[in-house]
Amino acid sequence: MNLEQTSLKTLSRDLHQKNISSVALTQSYLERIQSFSELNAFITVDPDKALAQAKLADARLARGEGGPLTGIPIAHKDIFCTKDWRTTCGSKMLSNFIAPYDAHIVQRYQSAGMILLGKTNMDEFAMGSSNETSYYGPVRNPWNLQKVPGGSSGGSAAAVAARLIPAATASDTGGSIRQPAALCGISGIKPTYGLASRFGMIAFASSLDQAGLMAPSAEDLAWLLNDLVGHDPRDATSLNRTTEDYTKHLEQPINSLKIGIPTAFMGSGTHPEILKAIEAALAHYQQMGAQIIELDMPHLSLSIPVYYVLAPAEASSNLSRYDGIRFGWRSQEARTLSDLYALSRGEGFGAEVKRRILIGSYVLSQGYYSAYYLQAQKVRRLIAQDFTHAFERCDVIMGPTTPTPAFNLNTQRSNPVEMYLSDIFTIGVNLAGLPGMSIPAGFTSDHLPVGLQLIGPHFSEAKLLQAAHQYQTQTHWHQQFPSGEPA
Amino acid sequence: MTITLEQLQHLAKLSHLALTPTEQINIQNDFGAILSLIDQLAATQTEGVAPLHNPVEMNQILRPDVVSENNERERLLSIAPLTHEGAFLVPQVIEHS
Amino acid sequence: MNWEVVIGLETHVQLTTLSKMFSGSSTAFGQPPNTQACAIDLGLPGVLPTINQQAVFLALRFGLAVQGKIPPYSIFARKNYFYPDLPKGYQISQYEHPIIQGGGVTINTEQGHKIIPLTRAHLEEDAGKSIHGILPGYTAIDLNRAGTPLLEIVTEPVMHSAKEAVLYAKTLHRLVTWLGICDGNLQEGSFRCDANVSVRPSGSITLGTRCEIKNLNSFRFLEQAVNYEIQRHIDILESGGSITQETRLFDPDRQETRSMRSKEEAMDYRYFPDPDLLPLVISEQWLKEAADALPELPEACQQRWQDQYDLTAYDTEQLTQSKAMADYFERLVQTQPPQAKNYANWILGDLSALLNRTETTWEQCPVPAEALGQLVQRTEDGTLSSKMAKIVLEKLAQEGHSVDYWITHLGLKQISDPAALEQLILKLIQKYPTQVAEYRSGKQKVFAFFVGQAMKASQGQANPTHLTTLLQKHLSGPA
Repeated sequence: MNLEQTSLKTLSRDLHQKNISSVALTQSYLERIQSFSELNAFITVDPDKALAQAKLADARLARGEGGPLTGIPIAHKDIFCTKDWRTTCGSKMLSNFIAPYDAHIVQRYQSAGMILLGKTNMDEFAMGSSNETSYYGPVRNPWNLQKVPGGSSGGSAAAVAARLIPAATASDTGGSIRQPAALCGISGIKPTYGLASRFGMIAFASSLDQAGLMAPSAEDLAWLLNDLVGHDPRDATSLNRTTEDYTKHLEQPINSLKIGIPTAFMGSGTHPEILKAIEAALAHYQQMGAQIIELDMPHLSLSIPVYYVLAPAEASSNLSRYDGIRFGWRSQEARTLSDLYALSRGEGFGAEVKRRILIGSYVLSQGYYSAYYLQAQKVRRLIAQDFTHAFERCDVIMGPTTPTPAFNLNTQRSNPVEMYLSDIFTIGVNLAGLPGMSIPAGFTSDHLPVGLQLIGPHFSEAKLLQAAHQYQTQTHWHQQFPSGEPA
Repeated sequence: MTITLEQLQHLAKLSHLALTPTEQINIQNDFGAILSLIDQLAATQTEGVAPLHNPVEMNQILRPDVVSENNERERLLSIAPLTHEGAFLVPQVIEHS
Repeated sequence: MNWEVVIGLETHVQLTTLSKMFSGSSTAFGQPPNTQACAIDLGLPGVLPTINQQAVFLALRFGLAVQGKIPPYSIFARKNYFYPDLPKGYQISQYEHPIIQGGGVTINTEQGHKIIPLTRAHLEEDAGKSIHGILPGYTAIDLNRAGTPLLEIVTEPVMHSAKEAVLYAKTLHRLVTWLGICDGNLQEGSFRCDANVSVRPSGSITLGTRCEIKNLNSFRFLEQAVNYEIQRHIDILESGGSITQETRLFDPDRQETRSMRSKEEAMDYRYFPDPDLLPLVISEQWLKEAADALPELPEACQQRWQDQYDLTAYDTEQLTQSKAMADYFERLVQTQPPQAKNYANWILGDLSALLNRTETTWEQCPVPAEALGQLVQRTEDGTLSSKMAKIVLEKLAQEGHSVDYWITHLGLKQISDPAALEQLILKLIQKYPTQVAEYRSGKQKVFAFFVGQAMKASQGQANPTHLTTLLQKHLSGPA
């Protein structure tokens, strides 16, 4: 079976028409995961559990039961808790952690009948933009094994790009879905904050974290999104609103869609070949009838400093529960309580996590709270207002997802801020809680993918998916896959 | 500008993180770069701007007062590193100094 | 030098919810370790808090009762510190925006009423418990209590003696139990005080350095700890020393306070709004529901009873020691208002004594109010003597049944019928002619002999008042 050129729609049809069984499909993907193991996209794969689920799915399909996603394999980012499966969050701290519950998102796709093949690699506690902070080793970009896949959802992105899985879950705190989707040449969506429950998603920065999805096409994402959204009483920030069918408007033409381009996104800081690809994509939209306007968003440039105050602040507190007492890594060297804390955490956390905990502690501590934390929350509102004003003038904001294509593994940097800057276009969306997507929009001359970012007002997922799908009906970028043969 | 080693050690103590001397030096250097990044915020005029704690501002939904959790002690304790007769164990805590 | 003592109290009141502040675990006391601690209470990765509506509702009830300000919204904040009984490494509390601001509690001192102003009251979650001495070298952690809803009630530093602090604590204790927001069980830790104590030279306007004594779970310990601390401060200051601001613990065995941690080690709690929770908006509708659920407060009750039933201030104060006792009285007095004083005497006298002796609470009072009403009725109509009534009260408490059942069953009915008593007296006059003659010749002492004989003949059931009158009449005149 041709796993490279498939979609959820065709897989669903083939399963329901019994052209293929879920067991056979699962087996094929498991073999492909095995042959592409050098990508290091997965932290845990469990063929036995996967095949057992596939058998159950086949039984349901045989009885004429099951929904559109029943029997289709999926992978979860290892940030989502899974009962009976280890959940590491990319950290040594959780190297032996088996959650006694499933994350909301895991439950949702399980009840939809999807087959869990494995847990994907990620930056430790989702802190990173290259997947190099994972305790389980870096993920390689399937388009070029010397390049990073992006992060923090690098495993999910690489797995989908290499067609090791038809779709994967991911999470996005500052760009962790969109940035790796762009660098790996796939489609990814980060829904509106609160649209999908955070229950069972290991917290990094609670007011920014959002579960989302990755797949080759926008159409695949729409199929998946229907099962993701909805109120969950276990998450106090989960929104309670009527659900909609995200596949419904996909085929409608975009007509006179108004696209806003923030001038800052298209400046000299962005790689010229990326600018070129984005300009071509925008021209394509114009051909489809869209209008392009320029946007001045004066506070957007402050997204990174705001983010690097707020995210570490929330993280420093969220990560206090890792103390070696009730679960997780516990130092064997500790003789006193204070050593138990300091050594378990010192041994269990990697460098980037420690750095962010310390920064977070600093910006919240006495004497610094107002200057950093409170000021950042105020500037955050100004950034959110910039978006509100922008959406009074346009339907969708577009631009590049990243300033550069995938960079080399082990790039030497003089300080961590250089890496932080790779999220410059994605972070504002999280600060304002907006939905955002990245879709493939071409390649550089080195044949590295370029991502086009789409941003909409709160709850405009259907609109974004429609705009993305319409582009994908006329372009072929999303159908490209790395030609690499198994090593 | 960065923080002093003393400040860093204080933060490490607050955060209960054991740091090697090398880690301390690296992180102290990183702090310089990160502080110059976040110090950019100071220049923005924010008088009269309310902080935005949560991107979707709405009313909190509350939970009815119902006991919905059962005793799952054995399952929950099975993932703990060290337990004794249903309790978690830590090195002896000295209450009075 | 004369010293002025300044005391402020922070009281942690466990709220009477079925489930925890942020999870669906039970709050029941005294269960085996960690059997009431779910993944949320344990702070496992990925779990989230959700706010218990009833806890909010109970806090509002308190706010209305103390006439505090209830802002349109309040915010839950994280208080960050590490301790083994604090699973998440932070406590969810309220900091800059508490649910209740201000308000006051009126205490009744020997000099009259005094209002103790409150700074604030805020919602938070309780910590678990550390258990020492189970295994050598280890402390065991039980998280059953972790997440139990607390209302922390903070006074201004306005109290000036241990006695006054205890009076406030007792008044607050009565209020929170009266409101039904706390079970008030001190032994189980449902009501715990932290006392901030400082002294300053009389007349000084700046506050002295304070020490905080943590976790005082009895009124006696509160008094002892504060008195010890006052003396310790004065001793240090008078010998030229200075006070170190610190947190202290009271050791009831040695009756002294000891340093827990000093200010140099004082924690930087790094409070910030909990991003897992949205601002808690208090609607008008809620406030109305809370106000509707608010019972008549003890002070109002006292005044009303004094006005309606002509009771003394002392009696009404005593009758409102607990809501259950007051309710008991209320049930009684509504049926027979003129008997109010009688009811009060019974409740505060024999019934209180009986409950004390049997270690029973008013909630569990074995004698229903209706039965006590009947008992009073039967003494008023002369059926029972007060001595007999006491016997019946004991029987009611021990075995139940009705008052009339016991009157019949024990043959306790008092003989007040003049004809029956006269018949009895005439028989005695016939039987003891010698003694009659002695009485009539002026030997008054013989009267007691006849009372005794009459009681004996009636098996103690003769109504003593009626008997005396009739005896006097028949003995003095010629037969």
